[in-house]
Amino acid sequence: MAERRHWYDGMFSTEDWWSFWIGGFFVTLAIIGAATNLPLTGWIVKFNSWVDISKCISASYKGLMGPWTSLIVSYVFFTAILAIAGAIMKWNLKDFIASWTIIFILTAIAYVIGKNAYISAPPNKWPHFGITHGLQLGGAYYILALVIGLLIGNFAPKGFKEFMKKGARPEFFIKIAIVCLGAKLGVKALHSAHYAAHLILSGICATFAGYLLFWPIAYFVLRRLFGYSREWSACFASGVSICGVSAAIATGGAVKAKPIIPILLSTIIVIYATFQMIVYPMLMTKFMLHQPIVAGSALGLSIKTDGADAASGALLDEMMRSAAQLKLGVRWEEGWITLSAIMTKIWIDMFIGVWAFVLAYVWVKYFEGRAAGERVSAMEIWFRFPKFVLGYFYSMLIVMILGFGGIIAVKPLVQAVKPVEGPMRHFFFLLTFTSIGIVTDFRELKKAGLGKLALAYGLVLIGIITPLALLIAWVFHHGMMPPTVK
Amino acid sequence: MEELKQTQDMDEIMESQPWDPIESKLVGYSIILGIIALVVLGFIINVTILK
Repeated sequence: MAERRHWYDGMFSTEDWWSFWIGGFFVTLAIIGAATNLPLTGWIVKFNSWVDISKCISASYKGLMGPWTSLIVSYVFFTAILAIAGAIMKWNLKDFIASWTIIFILTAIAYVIGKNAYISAPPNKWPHFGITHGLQLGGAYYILALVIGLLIGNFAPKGFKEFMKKGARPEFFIKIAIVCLGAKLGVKALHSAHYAAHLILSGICATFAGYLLFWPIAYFVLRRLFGYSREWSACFASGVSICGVSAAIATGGAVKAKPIIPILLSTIIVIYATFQMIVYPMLMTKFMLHQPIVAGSALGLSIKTDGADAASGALLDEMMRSAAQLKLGVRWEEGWITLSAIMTKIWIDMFIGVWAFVLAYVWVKYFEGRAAGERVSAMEIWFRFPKFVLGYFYSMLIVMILGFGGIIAVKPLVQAVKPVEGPMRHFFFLLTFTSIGIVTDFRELKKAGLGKLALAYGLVLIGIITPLALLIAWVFHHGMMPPTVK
Repeated sequence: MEELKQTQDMDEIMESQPWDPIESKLVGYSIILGIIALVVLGFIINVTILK
């Protein structure tokens, strides 16, 4: 007899729920700070552009504490929160904290180096730093963090690599960052409510059309051209067309595929997502500078892990804003391109539950020959629903309600939320890059003997999903431009 | 021995099944719905938001 599940199952035992709790906690802390005029989030460390290294970090609220104190307090606070979550999720805390500490330090180093003004400052900022030349590599710290991670993931001794994987949790870090990003959307909506609403509506429509087109085409290709079974093809189609690992796992459950199938697919999904994360922002910056929101949305539709999508969105945001300033002479507001990438992905994540339900229904009705009258529970949708998305909407709505409702004055509200939606979010994005590198081992593909499947995945992803994603993103977002800095 | 078992497992999960006509129908319906969604929603978004 199947084990009975409750709606609250997993609330304290999954990273998905814990990203909701942790992200929500920090946003709530910021709001309490705004309401009470206390600098409750001012201690969060901020990484600044620099030429004088003594100014490379500071507390989010200048003057609250010294830079090193802020860094140490941030480390202690973040470690404590993650350790509490880890303890309840029954992780090996000793290994986690040791590995996380190394990741924290490496990420901070990558961030400091990448923020050097000679490396990343755009030309308009050069006079501010007293420099006359620079590489203008906005977002270099993301690549640096990824490279550090990849070096560990691919070249470190096996024992050390396995140890580092205990702390490298890209999906967890990015989900926390995405919950914080919800607050940013709330702040942005306070300033540009119509634009934010347009982005949300266009994102839903793009996702809906994308689902219905991507999935059956990917399924057909694997089933007919490559001759795989229905279960393989269903998990593959969800992985390549919807939301990578979580969709493949959700689909595996819905169609009762052997558990090994989504696990094997996950390796391929993560490796391709890493490749896309590096290459797509560069190509889009070069060829799509006049359609930045289309480019962001296309990332959301074509990159199949939350971590890689959000990370590449952030990278694209940096690269495109630098390029636009240089080539078009405009300064776009930070964050809108990232938001367009994440917004589309958020909808995709939200629909996983619905799609898993549809697949479960189709499989029960047509393929599994189950007893007549056997039903698929509507609760399946809730079980498959990504819970961090609730945190994203909580953060967005609470800021909008408090700000638009005049319950808290907009200025202190924005100021209090800033350290969470800015410095903390950026740092967790960066932790994701380091972690993705650590968990990505390019040799795994060969070991698993999945060459044919990897070939099929690459073919469908690059030859079908990506062009379709660009088309759909263009249909629903063409002409949308990020607001310019006033 | 373990390698042999792994190979057997892989063979088992790689086992193919014949294509069922209902699969053609479901794939076809989804693609048609997708195209309709793209055209209709694209039209609505274009005349309301992107105009």
